[in-house]
Amino acid sequence: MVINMNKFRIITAAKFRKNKGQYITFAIILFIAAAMLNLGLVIQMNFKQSFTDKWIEYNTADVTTIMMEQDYSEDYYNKIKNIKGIDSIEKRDCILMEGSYRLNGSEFSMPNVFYNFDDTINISKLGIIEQKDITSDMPAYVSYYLKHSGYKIGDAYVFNSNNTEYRFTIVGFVEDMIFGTQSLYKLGIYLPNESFKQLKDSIDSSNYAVSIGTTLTDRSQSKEVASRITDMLTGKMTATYSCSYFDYCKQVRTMTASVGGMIFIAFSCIIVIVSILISQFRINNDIEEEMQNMGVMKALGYKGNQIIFSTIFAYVVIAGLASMIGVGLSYVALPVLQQGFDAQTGFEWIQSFDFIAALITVVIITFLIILASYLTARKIRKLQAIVALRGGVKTHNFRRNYFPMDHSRGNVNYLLAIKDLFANGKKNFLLLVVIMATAFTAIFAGTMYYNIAIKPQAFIEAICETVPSVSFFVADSEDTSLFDEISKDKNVKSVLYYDSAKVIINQEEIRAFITDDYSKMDYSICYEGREPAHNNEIAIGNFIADSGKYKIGDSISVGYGSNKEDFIITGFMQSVNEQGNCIELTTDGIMRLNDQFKKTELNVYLNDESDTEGYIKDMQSKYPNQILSFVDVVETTEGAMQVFVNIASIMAIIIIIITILLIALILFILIKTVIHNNKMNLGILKAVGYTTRQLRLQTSWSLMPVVGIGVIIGAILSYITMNNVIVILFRVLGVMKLGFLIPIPMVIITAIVMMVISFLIAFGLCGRIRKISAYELISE
Amino acid sequence: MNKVIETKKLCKTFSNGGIQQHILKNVDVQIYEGDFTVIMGASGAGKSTLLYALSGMDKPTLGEIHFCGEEISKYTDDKLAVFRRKNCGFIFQQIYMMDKMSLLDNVLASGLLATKNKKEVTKRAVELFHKVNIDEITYRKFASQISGGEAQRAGIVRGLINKPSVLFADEPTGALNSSNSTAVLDVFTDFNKEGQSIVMVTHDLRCALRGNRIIYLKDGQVAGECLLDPYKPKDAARRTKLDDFLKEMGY
Amino acid sequence: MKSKRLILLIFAIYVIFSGILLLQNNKVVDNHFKVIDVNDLVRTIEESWDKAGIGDAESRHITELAVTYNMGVAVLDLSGMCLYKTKGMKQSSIKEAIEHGDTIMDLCNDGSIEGKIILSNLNMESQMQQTYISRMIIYSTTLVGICLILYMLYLDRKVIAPFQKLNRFARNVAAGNLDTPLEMDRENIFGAFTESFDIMREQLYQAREKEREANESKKELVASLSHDIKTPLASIRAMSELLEITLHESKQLEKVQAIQKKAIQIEQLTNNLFHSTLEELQTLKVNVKEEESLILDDIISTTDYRHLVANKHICECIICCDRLRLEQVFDNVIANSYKYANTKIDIVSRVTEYTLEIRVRDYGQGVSTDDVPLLTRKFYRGKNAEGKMGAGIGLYMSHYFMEQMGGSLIANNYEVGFEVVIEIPLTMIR
Repeated sequence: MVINMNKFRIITAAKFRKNKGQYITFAIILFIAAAMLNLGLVIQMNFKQSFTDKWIEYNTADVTTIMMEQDYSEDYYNKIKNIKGIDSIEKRDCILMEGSYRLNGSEFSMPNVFYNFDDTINISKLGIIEQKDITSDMPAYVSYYLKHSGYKIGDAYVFNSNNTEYRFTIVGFVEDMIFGTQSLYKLGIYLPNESFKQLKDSIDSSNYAVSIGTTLTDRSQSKEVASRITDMLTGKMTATYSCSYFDYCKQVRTMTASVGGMIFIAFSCIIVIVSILISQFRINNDIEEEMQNMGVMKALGYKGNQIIFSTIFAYVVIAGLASMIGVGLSYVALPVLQQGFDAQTGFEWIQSFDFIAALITVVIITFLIILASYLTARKIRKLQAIVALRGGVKTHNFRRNYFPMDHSRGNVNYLLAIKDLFANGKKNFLLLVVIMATAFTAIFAGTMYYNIAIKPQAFIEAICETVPSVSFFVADSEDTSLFDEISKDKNVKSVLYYDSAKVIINQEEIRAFITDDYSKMDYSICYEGREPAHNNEIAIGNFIADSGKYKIGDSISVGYGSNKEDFIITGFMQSVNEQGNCIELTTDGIMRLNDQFKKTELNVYLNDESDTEGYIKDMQSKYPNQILSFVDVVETTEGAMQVFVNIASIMAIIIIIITILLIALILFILIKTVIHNNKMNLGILKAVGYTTRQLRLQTSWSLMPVVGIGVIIGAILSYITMNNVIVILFRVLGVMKLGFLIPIPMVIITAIVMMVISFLIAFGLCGRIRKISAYELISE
Repeated sequence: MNKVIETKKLCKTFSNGGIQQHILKNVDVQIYEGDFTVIMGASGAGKSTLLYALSGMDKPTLGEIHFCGEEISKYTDDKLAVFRRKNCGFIFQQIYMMDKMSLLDNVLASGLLATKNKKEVTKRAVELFHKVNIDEITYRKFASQISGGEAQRAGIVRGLINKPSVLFADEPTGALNSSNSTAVLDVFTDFNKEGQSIVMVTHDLRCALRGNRIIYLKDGQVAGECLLDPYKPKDAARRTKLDDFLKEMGY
Repeated sequence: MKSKRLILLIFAIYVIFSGILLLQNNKVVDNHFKVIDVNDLVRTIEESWDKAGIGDAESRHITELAVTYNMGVAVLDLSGMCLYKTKGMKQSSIKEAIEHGDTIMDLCNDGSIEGKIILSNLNMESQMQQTYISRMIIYSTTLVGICLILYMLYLDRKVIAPFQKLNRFARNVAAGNLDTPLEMDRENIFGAFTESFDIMREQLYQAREKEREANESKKELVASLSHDIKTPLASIRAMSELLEITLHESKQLEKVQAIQKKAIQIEQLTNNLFHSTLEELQTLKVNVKEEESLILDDIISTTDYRHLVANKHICECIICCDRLRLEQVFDNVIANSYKYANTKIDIVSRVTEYTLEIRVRDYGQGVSTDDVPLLTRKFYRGKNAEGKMGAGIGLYMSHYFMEQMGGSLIANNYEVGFEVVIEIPLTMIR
């Protein structure tokens, strides 16, 4: 066997020298695939784990309950302490204030929770990423998340609450596993002793709050414990309270990474399929070319499997090596990705080499290539020595003479191109698949970019409940003068009250969205069924629908305080902000639970959103008493979208580069093979007087129909299925239904550009035809 | 008689791993209109190389080739290709029909280069096929489905489709058996009688007998030339003259 | 093989087609009352209810809803009187509704029951029909599918498989592999046919075996004969030597010597070796090779380090020369020109029948006419050479080299200038 191995090495080395370019191309494609697969796997396998690791490292509270000091009594503390499964408990004073702050250049309205940084604590410790000794009157530590949102050490963090400005100086960035991002609807700020006291003294005591952190003996029970605490507090609180638990925190903090990982894995699957097809195509070609040599080897006494081995050896070695290099390469790209994710997740993700992911990548790719090439090369075993020596089974092959030239119309060059096209089915298939896949991914990138960066309406609709132009907080909804005035305005598309309230479903406090008539809203967020229309109807979020195994038409019990009523489920709705943990009710519906309910939030949809600010000022001056506060949603959304626009453009650029690269590599392999196999025919054509240019055009044109069909199929396919595919990828985010616009001009332009690029690449690659001379006919 | 081709000190050198090999050395030959010129010589004497240089298929290393008044030795590849379309027809020893097209399409692929009028070219192709005794059923077949003799006659049709100034043939009977060879050679003789200039490379005496001007190459140089009367079957005097010439040349 | 594929294709198309049909059916079949539809209708009716009945606008709205949900609606008051009915709704009393299996709901207003609402599924009949059709399609598809598979299996066993076996066999025979017998199976249609095939193979095999044996014996014969010749030949030599010593008669002796000579010749013929002695090498060896005339361009430009060569034209051809020696010749000629003339140099060439003639000319004082024929002599120095360095060997050597190459070197004197004509042969002199 040692001798045999040597022999194979020699044969493989000889083959490699002969077809250097093609093997290298194959390797490049494979290591792109391996790099992406490894990235995807590393993210999928480690990201969530690294969150949990940090959680444990900081001994973060598995359940954190915050209630206002006015509602707090020692009794609660003891009751919580006695809940089964609680390991340790710790109470801290904090401050919870409604208000707004700037992020990414726009104003966000969200409560902040202030802790004393100098408290001696055992639970929910903070990880300090960066800090500096700056002397200032109001120093503050803020979440690492803000570092990626445009804040630097020394910058001022300004919090606006009740028209009062609280100005802090950032002296450090910390990792906070609970309130570190906006996803829990509370942002944590940590003030050193002095400034905490200063803030506490300057505010109304109604903002004083108590935070009770508990760790559990079994972390997986966090949701149950949280719901028991909520149960206990329900109906006894006069002001806001909240209860956050581990599972939920983990899900919201890691989902961007999950989507990224999914996209990488999906993309690498496409490329792996392409490389499998390439290996099969090349091996088929090798067998045809090496037929006689194989005959000699058989005659010399090599066994079928030995010859198969020598045929696929090169591909297997390349697959192994390329996937290893790809894995290595992926670690070069990882820091960039880590940066991107850190901006979204608010904690520092440090990834060392993951042996298992690397092993899986290498094994999967190598195994698939071995399998595919073995299956292709298997037919060698059936080959008989004598047949092979004669150059293969070329028995009477009565092919049709496609497009006889005397009867077919058209220029002789195009007729020859068409004849070329029909001559090789396998080549066409490979090209078709690759072009289809690349067309699909290119249009995917285009669609994502278009719907996030250019016309983000559909994207915003998918991730937000409703997107008005302005939200007004109204003092008294009984007074209809404001409502009437607004609805008379020609610039107003529609106006409606859209409120939210906290209700209890399955012992859990969740958000209910409330409006009079859902048919007046411009966009339905129900992905199945319909929105509630009557007072006994309800639409539930996908999280509740999945957890409780509810069907449309079932009844569900909704609680508010001590009231409880049954509602009929009319639909499932998606909600990215609430992770599907929310419901929709009509105003009449909430009145059944809470007859004290008051509409406060008036959503105005404008036709022309260019001067929203002016409109707000105008309305404020007219109704200074009615309008308590407002949110300029247009401005807020723009700021929030910036992160997504960046991600989308990076992704679009990467995909387009890879698409073009893939097309170029495939065409390289195909054209090299085509020219090699067609050397004699090209020589004859040159002899009878065809110029190199004509032959280059012919060869390039012969690929174009397949490219065209591939692009068209890919385009149609993507046009039909794109929204479903994106939904699958975005499912982790809670997106269940998507109405992304796929502008037909974009699809057509993509298709045309792809065809033109393919043609240019093909024409360029055909340059090697120049080297073929008619003279080779005699020297052969 | 008019000279169609004239070469001046034609040389062809091949480099192989740094070692230069001179295949043609200072060859001066003239090809006359209407002649059936035969280039003979032992194998390795440079016959085919000379043929491919004369026909503009390959560029000489040194020297000049005047073809119908054009100096073609310094033409670019593409310019040569365009030149060949109109002026040169080829017949190869291995026939070289494109395997994915019918015989007719093979011919038309060549014919449509010079003229765009498809009807006219097709008509001429069919006429030529009839002349070389190939019927419609055959010329709609692939080269792999017919005999070598038929394929080579189709090759002649392809060579003549553009009415070339000179028809070049490289050992046209080299891959054929005896009876097929005779049929192919008869076709050559017939076309020559109609005034077609032919240059043929061969080392076969029977082929050489068809020519009226024999050029003998030895070691890349012209060793001698012999003029014969036009071919007639069973012409003993002609035969003797050729035999004597070849003996003198050391054939 | 082809027919098999065709059948498979047809079957696949059939399956896909019926699958699509079924799917389409399923869509329509899913036609049960939906709780939320009922709720919507009931609530809408309740909201538009007032004691006097249902207003025009509301009734239009209810009709629309009923149409979208595919329901028939009838509203009865507490006395059982039908107040409102949608089109196509036949049942108008509780009794009829119960008989028809309809849904009956209470009509509530402010918590008190004020009437009944009958809801009827308009699609019930067509739905049953569709279920029937789809069931039929499933059954027939399965049946046809099973039949097809069975038939294909039968075909495969009885026709295709034996044919393939025959095919492999024929290929084996064609390839010259006559060892594998054709397994016979009298069960199939080709039983007898197969048998005769195998007989044919056996006979072919026997014939070939015989031919091989005959060839082998022939080879053995030649081998033994050649071995046998050596022994008598040795005896002939030994005996003729003996005779040469013993015999004294000159005539006989002559013949014996002839025999001996021939015997030696035979022996020599078997082991013939040639040794050729190499000619003694000259110290100034000229090694003639064929070169392209383009090398002259290189030679001249390397030797003309002062760039005095103004015009240069070299004809393209192949010349026979020793490149190294030729370089020395030009070196010499051009150096001489530098030394004695120091003017511009013109180099022209032309091709004669057998040579490439190169004229190297300068425009200096030249040499005296008497010197011209003597210039190529050994150690001869012209009169103008006085006071200049040199041994008078340059032109002599150049001349010698050119002669060795089969060419020549001639010097010419002009009124103005001096010229060297170098002739290089085009072809090797044999």
